[in-house]
Amino acid sequence: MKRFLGFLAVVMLSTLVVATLSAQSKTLTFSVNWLPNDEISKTFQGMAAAYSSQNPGVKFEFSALGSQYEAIMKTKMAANDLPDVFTTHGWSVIRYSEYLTPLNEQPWFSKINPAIKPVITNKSGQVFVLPMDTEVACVVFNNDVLDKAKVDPFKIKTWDDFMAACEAVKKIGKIPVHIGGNPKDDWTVGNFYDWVAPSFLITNDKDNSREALVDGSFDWQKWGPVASLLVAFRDKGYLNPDYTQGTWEDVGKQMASGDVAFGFFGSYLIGEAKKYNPKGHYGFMPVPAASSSDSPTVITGERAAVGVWKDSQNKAETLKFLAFLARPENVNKVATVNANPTGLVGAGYQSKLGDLTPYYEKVAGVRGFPYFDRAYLPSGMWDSMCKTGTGLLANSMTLDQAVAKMKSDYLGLRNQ
Amino acid sequence: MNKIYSKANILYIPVLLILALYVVYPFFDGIRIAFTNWNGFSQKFKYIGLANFARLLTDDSVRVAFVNTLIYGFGSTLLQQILGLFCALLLTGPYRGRTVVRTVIYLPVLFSAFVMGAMWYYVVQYNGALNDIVTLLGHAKVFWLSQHTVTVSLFVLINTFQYMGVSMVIYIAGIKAIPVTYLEAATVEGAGAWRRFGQIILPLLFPALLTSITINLIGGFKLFDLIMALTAGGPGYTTHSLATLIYATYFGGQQAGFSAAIGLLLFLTILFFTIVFNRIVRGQEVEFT
Repeated sequence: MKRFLGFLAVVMLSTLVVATLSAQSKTLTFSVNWLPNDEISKTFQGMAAAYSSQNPGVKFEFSALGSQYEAIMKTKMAANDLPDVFTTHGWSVIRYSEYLTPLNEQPWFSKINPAIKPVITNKSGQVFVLPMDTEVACVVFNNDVLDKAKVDPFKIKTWDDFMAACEAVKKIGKIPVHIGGNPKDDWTVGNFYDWVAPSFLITNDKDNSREALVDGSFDWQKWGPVASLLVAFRDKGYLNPDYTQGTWEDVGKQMASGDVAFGFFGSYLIGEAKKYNPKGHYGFMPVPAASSSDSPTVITGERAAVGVWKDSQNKAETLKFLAFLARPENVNKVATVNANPTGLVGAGYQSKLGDLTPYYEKVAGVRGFPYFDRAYLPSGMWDSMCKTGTGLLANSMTLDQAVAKMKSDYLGLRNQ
Repeated sequence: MNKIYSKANILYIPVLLILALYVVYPFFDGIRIAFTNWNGFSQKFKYIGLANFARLLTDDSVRVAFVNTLIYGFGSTLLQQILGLFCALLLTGPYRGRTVVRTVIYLPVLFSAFVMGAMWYYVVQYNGALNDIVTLLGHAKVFWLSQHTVTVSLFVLINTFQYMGVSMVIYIAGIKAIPVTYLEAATVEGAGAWRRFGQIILPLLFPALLTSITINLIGGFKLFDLIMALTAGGPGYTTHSLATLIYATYFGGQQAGFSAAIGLLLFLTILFFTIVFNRIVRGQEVEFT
C-alpha cells in the first residue's frame, strides 16, 4: 500500500511539472502545400524559425506536405482538426473559408494588393488569408527558342497566331508546347484548361458564359472548342512526344535545356527552369484570345496565402505570427521566391523580379481574370478537367464523352 | 478448468473493441455517407436518398472501373493458380536447391505493391527500359501505359508475378498433405503422371484451391497500390479499379457520398464472388477412404 501511494505521488508530481512546463511554451502547427525541398517551403520554415527565436517559448511543428496536401487537409477538415496555420493554394474562399478565421480586423488588412483582393474576398466581404504574393499567370516561354524561331511573343493575339508560332518552333526542331500529360501529374493538363477556357468562355465582354457558368444554365456543348484545342495541338505535333507520360519535372528540365518554347504555367515554371539552367532566358506573355474581337488576358489569383484555423487553441499567438509574416521583409522574400508581385502594397513592399520586371511591366495594363475553375466551376471540377484532359490526350475518351463527363460532374457538384 | 477458460474469454475484448472501432463502425458509417451529398470535408451535407446508387448505373467511370476490377480479379487469380500450382508441383520433389527456388518465387510477395509498381514504372514508361529495347529493334516507342488493353494486361501480369508465390505456398502445403500411399497405389495400378494429377492430386487439393482462389480473388478485386504507382487510374478513367476510383472520387472529385456508394459496390462484388466460388469448389471436394 505504501509503495503504491509513493508511486502515485511520483506520477502526480511528474504530471504537474510537465503541465507547468507545457503551459510556459506553445507549439504552433504550420503546414504548407509545397515539397520540403522547394525554395518556398524553406523560406516559410525559415520565417517560423525566426519568429521562434524572437519569441522564446513558441515553437513550430512545420510540415511541407507536397502532392498529398489536399488529401490530407480534406481529411483534417472532415475531422475538424486542422493545423493552427496553413496555406490555402488558391482555395481560401471556396474550400477553406468554413474553417478559417476572418482577418478583416488585422493591422495589415488595408495593405492588401487591390489586384488580388477580389479573389480572396467572399460574398460577405470577408477575407480569410494573408496574401504573401499576387499571382499574375501567363504563358511562359523560353526566349532563346523563340529568338531562333523568329517569333515575337507579344505579337501573338489569338490562338491562330499561337499555332503559327508553334509551327515556326516546330520547323526549327524544337517542341512548341510541353503539356506534361502524365496521369500521375494530371494537374499539368488541368492547368492548360484553366489557361485556355477563359479565352473561349469568359474574357470576351460581348460574348461570354460568365453568368451561365455560375447560375447553372451553361450549355456544355460550348466546352467542345476548349477541349478540342488540346487535341488540335496534339494532332499537329505541337506537344512533347511523350504527351501522355511527361511529368512536371520534365516540363522544367526541357524548358531549361532549350528544347521547349511554351508552357501553360505560372512564373513558378521559370523558377523551376532556373534550377536547371539559371542562365536561361525566360519570359511570359498574356494568354491569347479565342477570336480577333477579343484581346489577350492574364490570370490573377492566390499563390502563397496563409490562413489561421478558426478553432486554433493558440489563436492569439497565431495571429501575432501572421502579423510577423506580413512585415515587408517577409512578404518581399516570399514574393521574390515565387517571382510574383507582393500580396501587400505600400512602403517597403517590393519583390525582386529581376529579369522578369520588363514582362510584368508589359502585362501591367492587360485585363486580368480569376482562375477559371475557382471562379466559375463548382469545387471538385478541377479533377474533372484533369481526368478528361488526359483521357482526350490518350484517345481513351472521345470529345463527346469528355463533354458529357464535365457536364455530369458539374451538375452533381453544384448540388453539394 | 471452466474458470480458466471463462477468464481467457476476457482476452477477446481488446480485439473486439478494435474491430468494432476500425472495421464495424466505419463500415456502417460508410453506408450512411452513401445516402448523402457530403463533399468529404465540410461539416454540412444533405441526405439525398438513393441518388448516389442510381448514379452507379449511369456513370461511365464506374462502368469502366467495374469491368477493370473483374479483369484484375479473375485474370490475376487464374494465372496465379496455374503458375502457383505448376511451381508447387515442380518444387515438392526431393532435389537440392528447391528451398532457394521457393524463396526466390515467394520474395516478391514481401514487397509493397506500391514499390513493385514503382520499379515496373521505370521499365514500362515511355522513356523506360522496354522502349529502349523497342527502339533498338528499330521500332517507334510505344505508349505502354496509355492503351487500355495493354495497360490492364500489364497490371494483371505484374500482380500475378508478385503474388503467385502465395498460391505456390498454399499448394505445396496441400500437396504435402496428400498421403503418399495414394500416389504409390496409383503408380502400381499403372496410372501415369497426368492421371495421378487429374484423379488424385487435384481433387484432394480442392480445399487448398478454395483458400488460394479466395485470397487471390480478394487481392485482385482490391488492387490499388500497383495502379496508383503506375497510372493513378488514368489516362482519364481507363485503368481505374473500383478501389482507386473510390480514392479519386473522394479526394479528387470531392464526392464522398458517391465514393461511399462505390465502396459498397466493391464490398458486394467481393462478397458475391467469394460466396459463389466457395459453393462451387466446396461441392467438388472429395475424400478418399
